[in-house]
Amino acid sequence: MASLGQICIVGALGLALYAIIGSLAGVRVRSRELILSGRNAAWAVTGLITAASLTLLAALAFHDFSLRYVWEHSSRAMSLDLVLAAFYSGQQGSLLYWSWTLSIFSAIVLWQQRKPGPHRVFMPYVVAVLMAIEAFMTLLLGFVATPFEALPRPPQDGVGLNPLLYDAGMRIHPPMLLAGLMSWSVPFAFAIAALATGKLGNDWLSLSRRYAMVAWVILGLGNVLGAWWAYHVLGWGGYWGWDPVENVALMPWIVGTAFIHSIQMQERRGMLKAWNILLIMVTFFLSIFGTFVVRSGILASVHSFALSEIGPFFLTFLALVICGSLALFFWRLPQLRGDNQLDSLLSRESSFLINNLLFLGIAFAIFWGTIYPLVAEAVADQKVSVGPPYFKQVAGPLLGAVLLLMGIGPLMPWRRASREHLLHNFVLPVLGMIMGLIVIAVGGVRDPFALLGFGLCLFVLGTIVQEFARGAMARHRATGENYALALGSLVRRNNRRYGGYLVHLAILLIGAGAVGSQIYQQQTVATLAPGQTVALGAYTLTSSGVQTTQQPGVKVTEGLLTVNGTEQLRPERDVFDNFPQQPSTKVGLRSTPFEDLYVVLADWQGDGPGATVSLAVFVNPLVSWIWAGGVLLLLGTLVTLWPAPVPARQHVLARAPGALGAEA
Amino acid sequence: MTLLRACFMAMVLVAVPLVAHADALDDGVRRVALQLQCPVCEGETVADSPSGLAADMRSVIRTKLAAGESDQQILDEFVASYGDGILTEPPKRGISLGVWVGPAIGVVLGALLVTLLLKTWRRPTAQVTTRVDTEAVDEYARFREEYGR
Repeated sequence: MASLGQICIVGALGLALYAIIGSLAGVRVRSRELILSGRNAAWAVTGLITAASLTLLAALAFHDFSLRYVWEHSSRAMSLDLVLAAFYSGQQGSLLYWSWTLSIFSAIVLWQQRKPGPHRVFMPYVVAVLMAIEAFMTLLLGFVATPFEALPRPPQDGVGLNPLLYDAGMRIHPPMLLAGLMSWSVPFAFAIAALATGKLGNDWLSLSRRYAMVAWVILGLGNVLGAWWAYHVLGWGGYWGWDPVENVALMPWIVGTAFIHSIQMQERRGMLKAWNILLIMVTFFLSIFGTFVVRSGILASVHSFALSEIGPFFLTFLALVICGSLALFFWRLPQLRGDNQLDSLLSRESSFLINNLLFLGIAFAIFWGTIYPLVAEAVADQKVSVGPPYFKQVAGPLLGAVLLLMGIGPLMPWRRASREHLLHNFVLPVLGMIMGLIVIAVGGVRDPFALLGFGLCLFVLGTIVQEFARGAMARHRATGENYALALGSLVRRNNRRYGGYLVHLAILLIGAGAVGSQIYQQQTVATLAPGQTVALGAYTLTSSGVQTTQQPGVKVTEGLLTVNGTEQLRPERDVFDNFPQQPSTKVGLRSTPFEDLYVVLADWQGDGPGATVSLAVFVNPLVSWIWAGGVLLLLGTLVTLWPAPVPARQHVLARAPGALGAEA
Repeated sequence: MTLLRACFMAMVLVAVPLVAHADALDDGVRRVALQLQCPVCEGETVADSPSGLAADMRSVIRTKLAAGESDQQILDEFVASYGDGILTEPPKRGISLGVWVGPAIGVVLGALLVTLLLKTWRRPTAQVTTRVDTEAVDEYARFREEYGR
């Protein structure tokens, strides 16, 4: 097993290097065969890394403890799905998973771009860039952090998975996150190809837009699922702790968000050409940064950073990538002049500029807060903790500004907005916001920050509803379709615009959930003997001790609680035999659309029905809106990615500069 | 410390035999502990950390609160013995000031840059003449996009 996997990895490294050389040399000597051989080598890399991954999966499934990785991360007591999840739960395995998904994405790109077309000039460079990343990963996997290290004397049983990872969220959140970080490689490869070929027009953008959207939604869902997992497993009552590991996965997503907005400036107005290339580069740098930080814990201190095996390699790679791409960028900069002209400050163009400013501001604030403890330790040898209060105070106002802009930007016309236009578009949403605010204020929401946050959400909601309503009504008048049908065909024909609105709606749901749960969270702690009660919000919890059961490999203790005299709630503490020092929590959760009752069994004394339990009890308003937002995020992105119907496609193709008049 | 905690628990149980409502001290301990970083764990507050040290720190907080100290006094005492690094919210002084100043400088510089760009890109001519045209063209484009073929 060990040698088979190792051979596949080393073979993939060799072929990836060949694919780089073949593609680049092929372009230089204009040899179609050489370019083709480079492409085929990339296909073979996909095959070899897939074989290596399947080897590791098989070793896990058959409990082959002669592999150190299998021994460290799985045990016989684990169910098959958990054993397979161990594939990406350790550092080496997660790097293998990353490079496996990269090879699959590379294959998808090769397959999608196989037909002749304007993309042809880019492809050798795209292959070279993707394979360069793959070569680095296989170098790590083959010689530094190999998942195929053999143990001389195979033990009988493995150590098992970290208890925190025994959860349904674990099976889906890390692979989503890693794949999300990985998938920014594809639009980055197109950007590098554009720089290398000097074809800096809109071709590379329209090719990479879809890949960027895919990367954006995968990473976005990865983050939402991460929040969901933290909420259900970590047991501190919240879903986002501004932990370094969370932050490094959020940053590329935020800069990527700036990118997928900013590319419209180039597509529609030919502006910001150089800036867009920089944005996707930064997104990719942050993704690489995130990949290594997520699994290695190297941000804990300077020392762990220096001591980690992959640290120096990763720093070297990152430095090479940054220097190389920036050198290429500045070499081409003279050709990257955009047609930067602005008719008015009140226009879509300036709202996109502010959008870029805000997103980069947020990303920088998070980056700075995340690495600052390292900086302080290195520069002044002082320990500084940067906890959630910093991120809330710094990123909070910027996120609020993003919400406001989300209402204003999409309704701003390109070039110039007139006074009539502003009145026409914003009177109803503002009126709606005021009415909505009165309603929730009467309903008891008085906190100024809550009113501000909900007010912004209501305003944006108003603008989105207005857009859908106006579109559907206009279509109803023009075609006579009934309103529901008109709404459907509206979305179908203009999927990019209306899918975008659906994604904005998803962000609103997440925003409202965050405002509600941050400001109106109630919490208390209580120690209850059997029969005693604790009250919080609308809930009264009565304890009837605990129930302990020994399951294979794990001792499960459930607190027996009754909510408001009727419903049962059973928060759990699981102590795994192999990790007695690391009890894991299963939160007792009673979820309704408007609030969650969230109970953690913190401790207990005694056994059975006579036990005294210590509980942490939370009431978290609107948290389920965040998960609903995650689902809508996926749906909205799928709508924007759906292939346009044929007539619209022709229309888009016909919309060359200056063609507008000709169409009439 | 553990003894103290056990005594306290016994006290609570004796004093309030049937209804253990969230008592003010418990919530006070949590309120203070949430502002302190657990010194031996990564990214966890004293309130949520399962470590023994955090448990001890919680009972110290409890004793001090019971003795009538204010939240700020207790936090200050922890800072005196552990340094500023014990606070989850970095104080706006000393080396910690840098973490607050960084994003402020970044956002201000960014805003200046955007203002500068907007100024240089601004087309000063053709204020009135293009106004009607561009808008009509945009509206027309949108109409085509949505309803027409």
